[in-house]
Amino acid sequence: MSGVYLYCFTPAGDGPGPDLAGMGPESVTGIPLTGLMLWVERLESCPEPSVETTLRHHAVVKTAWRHAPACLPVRFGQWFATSALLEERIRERGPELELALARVAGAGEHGLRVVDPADRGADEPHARAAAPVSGRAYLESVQRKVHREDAREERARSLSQAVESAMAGSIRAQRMDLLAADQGLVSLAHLVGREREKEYGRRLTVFERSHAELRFIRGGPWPPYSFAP
Amino acid sequence: MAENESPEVARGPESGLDDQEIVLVELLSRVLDRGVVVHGEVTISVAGIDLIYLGLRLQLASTETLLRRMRARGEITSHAEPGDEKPGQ
Repeated sequence: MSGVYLYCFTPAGDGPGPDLAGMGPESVTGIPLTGLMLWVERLESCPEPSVETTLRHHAVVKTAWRHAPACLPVRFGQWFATSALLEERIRERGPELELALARVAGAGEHGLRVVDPADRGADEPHARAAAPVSGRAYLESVQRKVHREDAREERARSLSQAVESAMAGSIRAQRMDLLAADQGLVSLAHLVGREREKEYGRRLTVFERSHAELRFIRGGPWPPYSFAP
Repeated sequence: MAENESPEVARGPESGLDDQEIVLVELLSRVLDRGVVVHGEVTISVAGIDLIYLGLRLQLASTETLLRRMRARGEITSHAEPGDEKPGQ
């Protein structure tokens, strides 16, 4: 007996079209439940995470997001042994999910990764080459590293606030994630209504030009993964 | 930058990923780490080892490493999604 894999939620009445391919041999179908439409697929087991399966999950969610007035993405890997188990879990959270769906209606997510080429993280130069010669020296080096980490985090938060302020009026919400030094300074997610996309892009271009020492890598628009409860 | 121009592909910091790969990592991170969770935890298999993973940060940390290796082996070149226009550029 196969289980059921969940991709996303849309408003009741907005289900997948015929023959929408998912990760398995069967088509993606819709289950109407508590004012929501659940986009699901019959699968024998939970798919293994890989670049391919992750992108296939995303492809179904993106189809829902492009065709329905609202789409609430589900995280990869939400598989249930039976439809009854899935429906029981959703009924428990029905009002919460409907509210979350309304919040992201007509909007998409834009990603922004900010990289500072001068950022070397919190490690000291030549940290590996110079082993501390005493306990005191070791503790002092740890203290310096903590201070640098704090300073780096403060800088990332300050930059995020500046971005949010600059984007005000064109975004509904912003989410910030700090990054390790070799990944960049900060990763931001912006929830942008479709009617605001041009303004968002224009404001972001102005901000980027005023911070020419930094590198900005834009992604999206995507379904609003970062703004799901 | 005009709307139809592609951004010049640049290398990331020490990670060695170019912009398109960074965007792919950003997308994969979202699909694996964000979105509604109905189950309390997700079982993830990495290299055949099942991990009960409550935060998915471990999977995210390995994603960039995985991409670097795949790129070094020539298994990926570009995964830019069609239709991902950059508004206002």
